Amino acid sequence: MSTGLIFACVGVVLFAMGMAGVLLLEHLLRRILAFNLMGSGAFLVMVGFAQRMDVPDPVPQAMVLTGIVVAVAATALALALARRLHALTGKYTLPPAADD
Amino acid sequence: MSGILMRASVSALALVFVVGLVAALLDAPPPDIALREAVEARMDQSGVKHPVTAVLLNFRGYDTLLEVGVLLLALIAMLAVSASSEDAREPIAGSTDPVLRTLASIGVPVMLLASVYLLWAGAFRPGGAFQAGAVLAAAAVLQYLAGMTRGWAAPGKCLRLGLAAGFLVFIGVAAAQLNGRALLQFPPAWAGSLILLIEAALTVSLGLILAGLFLFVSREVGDSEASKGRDPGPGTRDPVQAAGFGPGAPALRGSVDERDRDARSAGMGQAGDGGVP
Repeated sequence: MSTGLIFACVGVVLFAMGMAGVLLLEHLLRRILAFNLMGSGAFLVMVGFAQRMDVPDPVPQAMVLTGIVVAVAATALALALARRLHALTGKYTLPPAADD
Repeated sequence: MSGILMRASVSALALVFVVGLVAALLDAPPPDIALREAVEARMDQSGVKHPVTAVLLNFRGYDTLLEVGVLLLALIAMLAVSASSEDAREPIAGSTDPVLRTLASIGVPVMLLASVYLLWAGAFRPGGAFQAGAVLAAAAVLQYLAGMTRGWAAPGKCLRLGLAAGFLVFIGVAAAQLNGRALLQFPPAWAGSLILLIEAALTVSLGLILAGLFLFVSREVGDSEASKGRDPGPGTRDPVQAAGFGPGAPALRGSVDERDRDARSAGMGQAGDGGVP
């Protein structure tokens, strides 16, 4: 098992942890953190799996490089939305979905 | 569905997902397409000597252009949803912390230097505009946390131009090269200079955008009230709470007078609604 493959497997575990967090956690800040964990897992799979033959591949690396910066921007947008929600409702949890 | 059942089913789902995907990864056949060889074969036409930079700004420049656009959109959307206050901001509490101030005063010049180096190094070793921009933004955030700069108010003309510069230069270069070529297909003789030009503009813009994502959020009203409303010892505020993200921050709002004043200066009135669920 090469190093790259181990990275990819860890990435899968991180993604699953983040996914469970997004589904289970109520507080929006925690949910945003869990979502970030999912993103990190996906990046790790992309970079790790591409170099499973122990030769780094520049194409996924370039995509992940921009992806990390975009993920930071998306996190900031999510935090701004969460703060806006807090300013309007006083809560950091989403209102329950209307049953129909 | 009850909480425990929900937890159990989601955990089981995650476990199945992990087992399935890891099995797929371990069982994967060797790749059909050899991107690395394709990149290596065309490195001499790319104008740079490092494959990641060549992919980022030459072979897949289209991706990068759109991603910079996404960054800009995220910042604009963030500015649109966050309640603004026009008044100049006080540096956050903790500015008297001598350790943080010393760290910032020593660290920021070094970070600026490192940022320029990373930009230059991108041509032949790991580095480039994204890393340089991230270091630049980190320097700005460090300065803010040390109380040496204020959070940003609504962006003026110069700041807007700086935020958009990378995207505009990128599009400008793409448009200038359009005669008879594919979009963002650089002539090999010019590619190196064009990539450096784009990267320099991108570094400034990405630094400003990433710093703005932090500093524009920091300008919000609840935050300044939180720091005014209580009088912490120097350096006792943790950064998460200082940025207003901590769950404790809303409870620390200042007196009603302060809140009303800020609500007026915000001119939007929702600042006062925050404490009343």
